[in-house]
Amino acid sequence: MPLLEVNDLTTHFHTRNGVVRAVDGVSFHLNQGETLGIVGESGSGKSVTCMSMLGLIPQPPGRIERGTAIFDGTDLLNCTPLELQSIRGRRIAMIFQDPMTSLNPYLRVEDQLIEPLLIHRLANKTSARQQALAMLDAVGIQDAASRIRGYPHEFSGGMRQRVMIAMALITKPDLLIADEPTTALDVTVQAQIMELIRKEQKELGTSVILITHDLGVVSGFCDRINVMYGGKIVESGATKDIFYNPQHPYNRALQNSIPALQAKGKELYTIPGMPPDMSKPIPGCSFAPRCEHATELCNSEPPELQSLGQAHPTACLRVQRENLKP
Amino acid sequence: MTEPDSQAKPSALDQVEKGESLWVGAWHRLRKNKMALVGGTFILLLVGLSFIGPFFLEDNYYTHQELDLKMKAPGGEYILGTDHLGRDQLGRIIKGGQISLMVGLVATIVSLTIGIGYGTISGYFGGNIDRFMMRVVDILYSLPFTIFVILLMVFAKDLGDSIDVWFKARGSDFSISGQWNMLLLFVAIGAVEWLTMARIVRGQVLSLRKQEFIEACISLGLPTRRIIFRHMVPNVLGPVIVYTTLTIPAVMLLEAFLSFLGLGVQPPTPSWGLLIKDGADRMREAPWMLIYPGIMFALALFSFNFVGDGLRDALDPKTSKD
Repeated sequence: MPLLEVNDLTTHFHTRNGVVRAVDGVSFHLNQGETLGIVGESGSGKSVTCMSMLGLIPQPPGRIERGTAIFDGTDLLNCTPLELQSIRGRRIAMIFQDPMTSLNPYLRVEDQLIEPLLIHRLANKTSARQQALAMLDAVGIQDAASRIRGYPHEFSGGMRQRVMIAMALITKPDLLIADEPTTALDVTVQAQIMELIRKEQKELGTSVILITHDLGVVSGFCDRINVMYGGKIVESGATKDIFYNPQHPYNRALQNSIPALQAKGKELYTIPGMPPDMSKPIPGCSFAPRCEHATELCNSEPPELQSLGQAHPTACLRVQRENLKP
Repeated sequence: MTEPDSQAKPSALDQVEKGESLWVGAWHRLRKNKMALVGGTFILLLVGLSFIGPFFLEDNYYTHQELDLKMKAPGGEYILGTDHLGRDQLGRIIKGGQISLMVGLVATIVSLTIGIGYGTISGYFGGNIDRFMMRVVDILYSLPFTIFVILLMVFAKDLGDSIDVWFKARGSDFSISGQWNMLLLFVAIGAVEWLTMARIVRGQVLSLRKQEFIEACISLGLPTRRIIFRHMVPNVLGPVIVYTTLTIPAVMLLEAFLSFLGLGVQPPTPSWGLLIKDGADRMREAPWMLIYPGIMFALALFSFNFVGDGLRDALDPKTSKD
């Protein structure tokens, strides 16, 4: 049985300008100890998917319309706020994009580190302090014993993200959701942070959901990948298959728009058009207006994420029915 | 910023980075502000004089009358002269300072407590709760303050006696009517002054709520109460402290105004406001009765304002980036 099984998750935002279908019927699962990447451009609904599961969507305007998210036997979408509160931070932890604003500037790092342990009554203050120190050491903060008494503004961006990781993992959660953990960091630090998450994951046996728009990050890190577009998963498969055997035209276009050394001198491929306006209902495939393979049918009939003889599930009618290859 | 955790860097960088906490930094910056320091020292002296000074004086130092020595000019036994009833002006200024400072502090604390609590809750929950709570503040703002206080003073005056009667009926010696007027004053001033504080705090919290660390708190499973009081409140403390130092003189002015109208502190207990009123009545015959309390009051107000200004600059994180 998978650790997390999301079924038909649908989150809409009811704004003054209409209903924004941020997440529209997303289903996926995650096994114990597995790493799942969720890839997509800005506004594709990848963050909202995870925030919905943790009850972090501001309601209103947001509303989880339907769906289930069974985490170890509990439906996260249908449990009481108190139940959810006891799961958050203890069994599911989250790392955010911007380490500069993710720590409270007025509290010492130590006080913030021990907070999850104290809140969930996993340790008393003395042992929490010891665990915090060990954790800070484990995430590679030098001279942790003296730094732990410092304030966040005495830490650099990379170090703050390390602190965030330590804070998220201190309760030894079953699932870690990393929402673009390296986007705000420079490239050398990015690699260190990803390496750190991988190391901690191995030690603690944590499952990880990695949300990113950086294909380079997911390729070396994830077991499986979900590609999201317009609030839907358009392709899902093992990392190797997603990269070497892309099915959905969007995924192919994404791969083509990665700058590559061997294509030096040539113009970089870009996907024409703009991401869809999610506040308008889309009758067919949401990628159809930008797709070079789109037909009449694509604009009228919504595709389902399934595999009809393909290597892995994809949500494209032409791939499914005509075995379209680029 | 540099990256001291990249192995190669020597630990000397850690030493630099360790730096100073926000509050220590604020203190360093405040120390450079001469006016704020002078103001702060004066306030400390004033507090010492008003609250510790009386221990060295006789019990009736501010009520003792020498009727033959009415309105005696400063000098000799009476350093600051006597008032129209032959009471030592210095003693009365000391006692008046006690009352004025106490009103200033207590009423400020009242307004602080209500304002921070109200503003934080309003800002944190947002939406319709926020809209409703802020409209209540708007309505209270629109009420004329003087009328509100006069009504409160007039109607609640007898309440103190009623409470005494209630306690007496139950065999208790507890008596409140002596301090009742002061209590009413605290309540009246505090109840008015918290409005601005609530607005300031609410604005701060509203922008804080969008910060990622608050979201991180939620995702760590922290209960709302803890998020508000442990994570939000310290972050709004900077502006609040500054506004507090500006509230204290405002409150003291209000007390002076109310006492001047005869609604505040009741004789023979003096407050600076009352002393000034008495002095103003006899400006020609005994100018010292007006001048000395007036000077004390003005200096105290200036001091609080200087300290407030200094704190505002010191707590502004932008000034630390030099």
